[in-house]
Amino acid sequence: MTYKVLIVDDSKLARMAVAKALSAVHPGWTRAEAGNADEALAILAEEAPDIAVLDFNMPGRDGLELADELRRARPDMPVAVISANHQQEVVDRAREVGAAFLTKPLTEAALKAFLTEALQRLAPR
Amino acid sequence: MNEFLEQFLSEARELVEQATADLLALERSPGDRENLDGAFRAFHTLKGGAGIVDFPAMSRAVHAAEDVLSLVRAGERPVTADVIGACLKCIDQVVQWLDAIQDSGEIPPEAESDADRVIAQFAAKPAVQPVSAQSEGPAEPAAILREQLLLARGGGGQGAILSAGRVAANVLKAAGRSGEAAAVELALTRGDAAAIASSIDDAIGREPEASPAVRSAPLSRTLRVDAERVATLVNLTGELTVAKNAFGHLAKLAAETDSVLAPPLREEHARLDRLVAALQASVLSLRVLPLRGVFQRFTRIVRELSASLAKPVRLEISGEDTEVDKAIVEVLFEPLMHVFRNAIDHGIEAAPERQAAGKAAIATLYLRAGREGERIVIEIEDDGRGIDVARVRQLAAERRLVSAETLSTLSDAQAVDLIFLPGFSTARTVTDLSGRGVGLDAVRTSMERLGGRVEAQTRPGSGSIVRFTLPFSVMMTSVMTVEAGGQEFGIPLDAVVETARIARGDIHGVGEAQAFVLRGRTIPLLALGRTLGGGASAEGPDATVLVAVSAGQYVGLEVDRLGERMDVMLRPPGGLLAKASGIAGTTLLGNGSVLLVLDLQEILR
Repeated sequence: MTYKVLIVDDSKLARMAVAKALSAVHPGWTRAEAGNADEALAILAEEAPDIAVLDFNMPGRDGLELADELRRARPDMPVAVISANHQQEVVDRAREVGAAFLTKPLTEAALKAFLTEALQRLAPR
Repeated sequence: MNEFLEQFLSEARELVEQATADLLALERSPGDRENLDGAFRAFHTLKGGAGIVDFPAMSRAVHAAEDVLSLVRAGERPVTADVIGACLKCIDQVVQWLDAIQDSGEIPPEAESDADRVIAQFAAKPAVQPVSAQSEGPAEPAAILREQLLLARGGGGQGAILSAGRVAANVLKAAGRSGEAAAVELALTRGDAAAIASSIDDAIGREPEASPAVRSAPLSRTLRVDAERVATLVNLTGELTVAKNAFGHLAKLAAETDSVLAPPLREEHARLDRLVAALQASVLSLRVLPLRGVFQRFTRIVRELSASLAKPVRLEISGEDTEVDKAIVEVLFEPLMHVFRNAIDHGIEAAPERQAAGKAAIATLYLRAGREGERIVIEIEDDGRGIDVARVRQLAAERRLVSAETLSTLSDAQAVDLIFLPGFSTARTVTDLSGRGVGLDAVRTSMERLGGRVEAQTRPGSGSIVRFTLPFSVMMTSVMTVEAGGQEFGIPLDAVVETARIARGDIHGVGEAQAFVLRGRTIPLLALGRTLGGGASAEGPDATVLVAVSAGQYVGLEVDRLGERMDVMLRPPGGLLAKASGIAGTTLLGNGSVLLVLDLQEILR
């Protein structure tokens, strides 16, 4: 079973980095990329991704606001918020909206751990 | 270079621009939250990028800037000149690193000490700043003297040595060291290169305060110069061109009267001509700016337009490093804006329509730039529904913009061009975005005023491209001079197709107008002297005709005499001429008279 991962970051370089890690961890999975929250929501409607990895620091709505919206629209979707700053406030707020927190630059190990946990949640579906 | 490093470079350059713009704006209005957030986010994203490409020194340096801005955001530190200055220094360092990566394709291996220096800037207490600025004072003459010594000994020829000596003498005088200045001057009057060098060397040796640890300040690759000063330089170069043309005129006169002076004068004029041309090119290159500034504004604007119309759009920018004359960069924004609005408002379909057409949910807009010879090409492409050519024809007919007859002869590609006609708008309903009344004709007019063009291409169902072609520099215009009705005029050379002699018998009356056939094409003929209200031309057996093209339309201009080709700096028409139509500008000729350069498009209207 393969899944589709939505990668949202205003930096294309950062999206490339996540995509690279993803293809190392799960080579068969597909992905969709968005540069901001609006694009992400459009993709959510059109392409029905299974999992989302969001950058915290984006112009417009930030990753936490987007995570909240995604979780409201799709409560079963595993969501991770990544940030280069490990601020407790961001970690706490991520937990509040039901998202995992990952640090930037994203390592394959961290992504793998998140996806493994995500799969366990998606499996019973 | 791997694709990650390439992407890093291009993103980092954008972020550097954004951070600089935001910091400067923040300095002007320290309370501006948006600029503060923008600068913070730029540094944050730079840090993220440095992490991805594994460049820890840069991560540390930009992290320091991010930290300071974070304190400012939290209200724990005010926005001071020191904060802005330190952040800008950090950016300067990042730019140097980016340049190094661009040159070598690798992360600079010894960046740690540079990073330390940047971070130390942030640690410096504000009170220390003025003191350190003072202590740099005395070091400056010493550095200049050392440079002159290098020049004097550098084997750059007598001219270079003398000029180094003069600079050194002036520096010493300014520093109140008149004795040493006199020694250098004495050596100068003797023209003795070795003596000049040793007198400078002596002065360096007697440096009053051997300033401790003369920091080798990182040499900046760029210099900030007030735009006014560049404008002055451009104007002076213009005057110099006029003087050179006058000199050319004298040389020609001399050729008729003085056989001894004429050859050297002609030679010197040719030399001056080359030098002035080189000077002009380099002065104008001072005025070029990359398009990045203008292009980047559209990242945000497209995002806003896309949100307000609920049409998700992604903007892909390329070629933003292309450099263009500042005068052009400054007027590009409005026309590009107009095209973007049109593209998002009319070109890109609403989500259901895109879905039905099997297109990606997110539309893509491309903004591209590149240089083609002496011209700059800028394109805006969308992947929307394309221009409905049948509808364009229908509207053009309804609005009587062109006759039905003309319309039927137009190919689809030509019909698309009708959208640039005044009074045309394909909007079925007038929307807020595309504006009212102002159409694409305004875009075309503003481009043509700059000597540029704008065209559209469309592929039904899959999108359209609007292409701007602009001159690289707006200053030099090649003109051909002609004499008509007893007066001399300039015709922009890019409008001139050819010159021909047409026998009177081959000129036919068409109603009140006249026309002739040249290579199978019927071309209307205008007597330029009469058209401009001057006297009629002397009628010989043949008419001297200059064939020109304007807005795709051919015209023959009958003149009394064809003159010469020249490059001139066109000044906008001023004074009484400002309101006269048909004049593109004026230029001073070598003999001191003013040449009127015609605006063919106006004349043919």
